[in-house]
Amino acid sequence: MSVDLLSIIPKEDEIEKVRLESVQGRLVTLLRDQYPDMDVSPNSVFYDNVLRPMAYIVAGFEQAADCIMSDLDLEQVVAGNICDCDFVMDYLETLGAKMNNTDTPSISTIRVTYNTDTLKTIQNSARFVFADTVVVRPLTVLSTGITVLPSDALTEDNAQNIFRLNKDVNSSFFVDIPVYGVGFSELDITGLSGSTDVDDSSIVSVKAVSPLTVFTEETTIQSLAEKAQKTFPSSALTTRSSAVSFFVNKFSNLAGVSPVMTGDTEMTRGNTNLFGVTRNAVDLYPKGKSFVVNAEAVITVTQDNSGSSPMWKGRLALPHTPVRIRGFFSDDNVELSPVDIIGTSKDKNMYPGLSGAFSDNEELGLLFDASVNVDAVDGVSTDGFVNETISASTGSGSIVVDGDYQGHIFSSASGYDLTLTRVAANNYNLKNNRTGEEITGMTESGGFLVLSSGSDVRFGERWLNGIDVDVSSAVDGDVFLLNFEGEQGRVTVVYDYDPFVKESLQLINQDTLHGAIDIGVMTPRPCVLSKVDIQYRTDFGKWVDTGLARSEIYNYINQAIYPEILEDSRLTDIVLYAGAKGIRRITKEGVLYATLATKYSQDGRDENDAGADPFLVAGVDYTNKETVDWSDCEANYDEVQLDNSTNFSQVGPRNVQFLIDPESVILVEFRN
Amino acid sequence: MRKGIKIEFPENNSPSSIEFSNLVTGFSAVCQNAMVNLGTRKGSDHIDEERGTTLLEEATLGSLIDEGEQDHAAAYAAEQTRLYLRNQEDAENIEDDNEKIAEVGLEVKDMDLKKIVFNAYFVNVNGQQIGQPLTTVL
Repeated sequence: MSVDLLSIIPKEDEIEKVRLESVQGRLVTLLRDQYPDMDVSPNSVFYDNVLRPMAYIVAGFEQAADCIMSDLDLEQVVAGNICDCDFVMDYLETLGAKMNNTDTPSISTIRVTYNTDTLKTIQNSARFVFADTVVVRPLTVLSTGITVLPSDALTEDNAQNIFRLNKDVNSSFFVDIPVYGVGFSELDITGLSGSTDVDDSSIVSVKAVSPLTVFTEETTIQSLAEKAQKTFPSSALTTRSSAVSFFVNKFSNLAGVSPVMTGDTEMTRGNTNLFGVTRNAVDLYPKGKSFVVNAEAVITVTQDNSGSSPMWKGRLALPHTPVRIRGFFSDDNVELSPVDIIGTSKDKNMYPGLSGAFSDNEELGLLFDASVNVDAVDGVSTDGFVNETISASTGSGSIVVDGDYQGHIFSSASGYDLTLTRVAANNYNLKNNRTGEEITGMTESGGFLVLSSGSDVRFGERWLNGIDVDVSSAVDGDVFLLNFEGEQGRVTVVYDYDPFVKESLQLINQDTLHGAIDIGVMTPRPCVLSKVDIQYRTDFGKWVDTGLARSEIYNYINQAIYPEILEDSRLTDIVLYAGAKGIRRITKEGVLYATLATKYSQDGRDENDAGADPFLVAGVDYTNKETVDWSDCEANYDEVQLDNSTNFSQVGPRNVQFLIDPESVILVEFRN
Repeated sequence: MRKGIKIEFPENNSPSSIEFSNLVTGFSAVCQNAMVNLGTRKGSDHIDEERGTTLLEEATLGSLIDEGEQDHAAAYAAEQTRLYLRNQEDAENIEDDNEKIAEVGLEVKDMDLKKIVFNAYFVNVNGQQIGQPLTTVL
């Protein structure tokens, strides 16, 4: 940041007279002090030819310096008193407030639909065009292209540009990809079909699924200064205020953001290591002005007949992090009730216990009773093995495979195409040929492949649950192909998600500001309000604009995020503004969720897997949801508390959002 | 004693010049400033808009149409200068009576189509006079 003072020295007639008089007076005083006999009176030679020009120069410099000082005063900038726009913009940038330019994107999310469930690649430079003029490209964390894994993949990681296909109700497969464009204003392109230069004949359609939101708002210097006033100078994510500032500065679509830091009751992730050093963590709970979005997707479940009670089981592999599940349905639109929703942390070191709930760091699996109609796919029945000998496709050995694939609560496929390679004695690799995922270093015990061994102890069980693989006749270098299908069904899941959270996560991951701390971007824990009942009073013959009140209450509740927590005073204000004379009573009922899971796997495995830890059980080991019912505003703060601290979860005001449907806002009128 | 750089006011029509190697002191320095003030257009100094006189403005506007107007304009300029110098003395806390102006006189000495020639004289509080009036009032 530099400033050329000479370039902003004002012209003679632009210098303020008062300033000139002041400077002249100071110079005269100075000279009289140093040279008492020197004639410096007006009309003297020295005055006219030296002192007066010098007064202009000094006053000009002073006025220029004042200008710069004024430009450093954000109040002056906000008031529109700007001396040097270039300098102010440079200065504001040092405070983290940056004018929009062609390098900063507008963001949206698009849906690419394919007709095959195979590995896809989308180049980083791919173009997606909507309405002929809106051109967007993938918003990727890494500079490499995007890999889209088949729907049964277990290892999607958006931070590594790895996405996963999802099934839709039309038996197509889709992936939602955050994208960015440049130079747009706010534009609702939701639902628009687009075109792409991605050369893939399996692409069926490209559609926008969220509005195009400007990443950094197109703005004036004054409004930038207003942002900067709210911005902590470091603009990093290491303190609460700077985290808030980061979001305020970056996201024009932000309703609010609540940072939860180490030391907050709600923070359960940061911990102390063996050496007593605290590892700091920050969980960010952003809330967009766009409300949660309703969506549906199809998941695959597999029948498990191994136990006394047959079950349908499968991973709740949704394209988004659900904040609320509206229901599970068969193709006949019959609502299905799962026996259990099983949750687990994808990374129990970074997100221990329940702390990863409502984020990409939590996996969910489903268990249905076998009696429910989940529409077993015709023609695909169990294709199991009965002591079947499989010869090596490469090599001279063989294996003996026995059993039917019984599915797995965290498996999103009912069948697999696997390659088992014997690298050396007691050393096997198992590769998923559809997704490319591979487990290395698997071992054998008693001649059988140990499913819970190798580089990821969870995957072998998910791929081969129910199948015994006798490897005693295999020799080094043998390659075996395993193809099988379990008995499968499909379930349509209707759920709500917040698209803003995923876009925020992508941008946070892409940004270089996050420093050496754990930063999680999480969907705030939902408190789903089933009823907000407001009893108001009005005069006979007067009318209250209930439509306005209902709509404003809906907007307010669905955008409330700490510190702007849900307060009765705001509800009262809204109804009074709509014309009511008074408020008699406000009652709120709802359910507060710590996780959607009714059971929790501590090790990412099914408790039926050999040697796996038992599930934590909701209602016994933790509370997954709690009914809230309150009618006095003082209790609001205390009500949104759900203490599962023994399992690394605390729900409190800082990490709660409120969700309500429009029809759940009830206005009851009393007339005087 | 006040010391200023000298300005040479030649008797002929030559322009005045600054004599950087010569000084004027005391009442002479005050008179030199008064001379400059008489010829300065009032309002031309943005810092001190009281400085100067209206004489030059009236001359260039063609107001000096007869002897009466000329005498009036000259006398008015002299009085403006006297008042200005007195104000400056107050502002600068001048204590030496030799440097305090008592009277400024300005008379039209000669006039043709191209120029007006003035005669100026100054008297301080102690009665010291520099320059002579053209006529003596008895």
